[in-house]
Amino acid sequence: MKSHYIRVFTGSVCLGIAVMIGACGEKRPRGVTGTQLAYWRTLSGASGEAQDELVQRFNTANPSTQVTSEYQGTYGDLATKLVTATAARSGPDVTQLGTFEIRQFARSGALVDLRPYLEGARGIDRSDWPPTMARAGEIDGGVYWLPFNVAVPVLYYNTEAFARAGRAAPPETWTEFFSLARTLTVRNEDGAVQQAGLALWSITWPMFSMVWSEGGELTSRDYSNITLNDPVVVKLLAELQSLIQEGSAIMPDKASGGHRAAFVNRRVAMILDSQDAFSEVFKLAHGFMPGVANYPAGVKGKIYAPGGGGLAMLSTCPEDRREAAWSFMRFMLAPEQIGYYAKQTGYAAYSASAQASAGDLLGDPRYAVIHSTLPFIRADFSVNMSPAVRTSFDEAFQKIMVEGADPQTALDAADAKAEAAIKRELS
Amino acid sequence: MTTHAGGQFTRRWRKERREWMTFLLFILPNAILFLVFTYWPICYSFWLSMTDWDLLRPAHAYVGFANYRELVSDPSFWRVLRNTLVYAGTVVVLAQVCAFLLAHLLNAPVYGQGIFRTVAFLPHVTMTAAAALVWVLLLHPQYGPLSSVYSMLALQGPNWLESSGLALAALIVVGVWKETAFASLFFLAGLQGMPRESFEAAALDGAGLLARLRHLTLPLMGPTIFFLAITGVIAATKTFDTVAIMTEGGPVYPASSMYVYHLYVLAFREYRAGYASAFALVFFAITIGVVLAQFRFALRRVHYGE
Amino acid sequence: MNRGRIFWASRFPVYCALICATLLLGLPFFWMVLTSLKSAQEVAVYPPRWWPQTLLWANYAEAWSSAPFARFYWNSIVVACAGAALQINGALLMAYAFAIIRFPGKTLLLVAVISTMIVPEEMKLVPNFLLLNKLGWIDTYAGLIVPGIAQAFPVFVLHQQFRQLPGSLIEAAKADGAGHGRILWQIAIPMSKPVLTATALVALLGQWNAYLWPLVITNSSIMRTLPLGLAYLRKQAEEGSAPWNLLMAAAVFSIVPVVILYVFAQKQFVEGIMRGALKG
Repeated sequence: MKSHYIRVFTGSVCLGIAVMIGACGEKRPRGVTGTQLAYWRTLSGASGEAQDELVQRFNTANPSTQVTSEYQGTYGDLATKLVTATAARSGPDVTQLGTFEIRQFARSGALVDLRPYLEGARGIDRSDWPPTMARAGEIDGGVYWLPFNVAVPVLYYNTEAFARAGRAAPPETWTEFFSLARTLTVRNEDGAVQQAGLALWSITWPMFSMVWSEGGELTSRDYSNITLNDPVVVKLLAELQSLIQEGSAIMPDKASGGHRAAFVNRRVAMILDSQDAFSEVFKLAHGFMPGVANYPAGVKGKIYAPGGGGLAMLSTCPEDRREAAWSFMRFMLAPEQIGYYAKQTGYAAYSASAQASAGDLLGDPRYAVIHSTLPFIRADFSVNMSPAVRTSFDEAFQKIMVEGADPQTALDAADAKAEAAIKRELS
Repeated sequence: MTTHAGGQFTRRWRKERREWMTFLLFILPNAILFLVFTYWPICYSFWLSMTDWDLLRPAHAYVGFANYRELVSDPSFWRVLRNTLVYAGTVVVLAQVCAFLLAHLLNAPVYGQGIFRTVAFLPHVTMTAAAALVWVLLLHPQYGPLSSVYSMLALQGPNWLESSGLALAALIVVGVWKETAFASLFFLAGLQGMPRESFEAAALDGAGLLARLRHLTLPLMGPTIFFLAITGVIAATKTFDTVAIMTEGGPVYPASSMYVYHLYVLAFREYRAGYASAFALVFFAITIGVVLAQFRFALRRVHYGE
Repeated sequence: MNRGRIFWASRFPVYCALICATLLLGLPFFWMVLTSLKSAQEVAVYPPRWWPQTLLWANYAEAWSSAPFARFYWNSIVVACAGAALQINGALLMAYAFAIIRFPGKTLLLVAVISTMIVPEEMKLVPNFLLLNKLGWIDTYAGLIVPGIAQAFPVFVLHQQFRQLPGSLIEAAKADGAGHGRILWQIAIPMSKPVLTATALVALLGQWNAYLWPLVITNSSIMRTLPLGLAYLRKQAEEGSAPWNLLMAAAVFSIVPVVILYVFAQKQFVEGIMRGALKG
């Protein structure tokens, strides 16, 4: 009789123990000696493998420090993981980080100020970086984030559609761009659109370049002056909205592969994208030759908003490992590595020295076009970095493009919403 | 009086000690786990809801009930609450109707029924993440297979996921699809457990289809319907994966956002863990209210066979 | 004879309706499999092509090698099996106690247990992570499994089942001097096999499909499970579009084991539900 209690309970205890043993057996083998560092990253495919390869190279070159590189899902997944890990005061030593998280993480003390390292004896020479790039991760006087995988704006156009419309060159100015979107639109006899001029991306990133080059602003870096309803913004979004209403532009959803699929399948003649679409566009372009160009210039000339991600050191990294962590960051950001990464993945080799080490990459005229944007980069992620500003602007953009809301009204409302929400964020 | 009750208790304790100890021993493993991994998080959330914490700072700021006060006047709260209730209500009702009909088909004595049953229950077995991805493709106005249907009918296919009016409807479609599979399993089991004789007797009495449905099937299915309504509502209010993968609450947030997804966005995208916890606890209270209301309704209407 | 005629006459519409219903319910799977065999171009072609020009089985190999899927598979199997076994084990004891053993105020306790069904996973994320971090269980099987063991659903279903056990049988066993352990082992469990199968399957499914908790609790790819493998193939909107054909291939091989398991256990499943959940 007693034996049945025993059987039932030993059953559960055994299972429990088995799990614990299994758990212990799975502990990663510790390296022989030296400092162990954990590096968390995002990006899969070639953009992930190239990072693992760089980490491998670092480990070979520095036997006393061993870095494990672990993929943590998309940028969003990575952010979720970093937040939970920081709450528990655990987490990696160095991480790849998108632009959205920089400010909040830095202000809450989750990131290490890199300025002492940057300016120390083993610093990084940032003299040939685009000037704003060096300042991109600057928050309240400290530097918390350094650019690693830099995405730059690229306009893709269908050369055949251009030829049919009697044009060879891509548009030089935004005004020209808008009128070209209309000219390129092909309709059949009963007026139905067969090929639209432009497909909009469902995210607002290309808008930053458009607004800035036309002399508009969305917010000041310290958020003291939020101007989502800047007359320039209103004018540009109204222009895009009328393109959509006329049928000259479409805004495809991401389910269909978004604006990219629309482009490669010849449903539209132009898209505003980044160099990240490069391989996809050239591989999948269906029966035509795509062309690449810079985004057009505005009244202020060319100003381009970069995207992508960078590297940061987490404050959960213990003091005695920080020197080693810095060595690793320094290695990853050195021109050879940025050059290698550019070659493998198509992200921009954003400094002159990195371009030099990327070798024949720029021999390809298409890559030359991509890299010609770099002098015009304005690395200012303030819209991304504030949830209040970002979500208000995204919402207004969607309302205007998807629901056909009045641009002025929608942007006024977004501006008011952002102003109200920013107070809490700044406190 | 207390001494009397206490005395009674002691007497019972002497008599039943063995039985009570066994009870405690039996519930012990699970009880500990429930306390640690479910009740502790609830308590923790309650404390967190009184703070203004982004999960990143080492210190928390105590703010009392400020989060709750803010919540009441937060338009997104009312919006996601409404979305969740609309979603849960529609999914549970539609899925039950579909499943009820489907179960009758699956109970018919035809050859190859095993195959039909397997296919019909597949939606329940599939990873929601994988299922949501396929639905993104399926619902697409041009690239999805539905486009052939649209063009056959000479229609302009609706762009479900990109229209703020239809995105929630798209989520409902997927919810109904998944829940129908689950519910039809239960209805099928219910049908198989029904006394054949009463149906035959009713048929001989000349009772029509509707009469049999009303007086025999529905009352006998009462417990099933009730069980599915409760579990369905609970599952529906917790919907997260489909929102995250299919719409991210958009196209114009929070057009198709639901409660739990919003809670996640607040905590991990807007770094407002304290506020998100207040959201979670209010959700808790509301769900308990809804389930209790269902129980009260059921006690009057459902007849359990003893 | 009358019944035979009705049977045959009713067969045709029943078949039609069945085929329509299963087509509707099965369409996503059909499309999933078809997409997994298309080329990248073909996925985005307009108008859509139902049947792929050539069946690209190589997509499966490519998807499989795009992440350490062999390892993910093994982890999923370990986590799902151990998790389900422990879950059922705990639920059996608890449900038996609530149904059969006398204890003052046990209904209240039962309500406290059942009401945990309402708690969303996302709410428990941070507190449980903090706790497991203290225990040093981050990135371990224990961390993946233990927080999910105590579930209200199997307790609820098994409780319903045990309540229906004939009281006379239990009294007879008690008269024979059997304790509760023996009654559970020799009477309750053998008489509840279908219900057990059904709840075990539900438990297994839950573990197999979990995404958020495994994402948060694991740091290294050697501890990841299958749903996270899908994320390797799902780039985010910001970074570009998803390789749908590979994604669908991965989705197919991720659900195949549960589908097979399900096909075999289907009969037991239905019978289990019939006995467990539905009787008041």
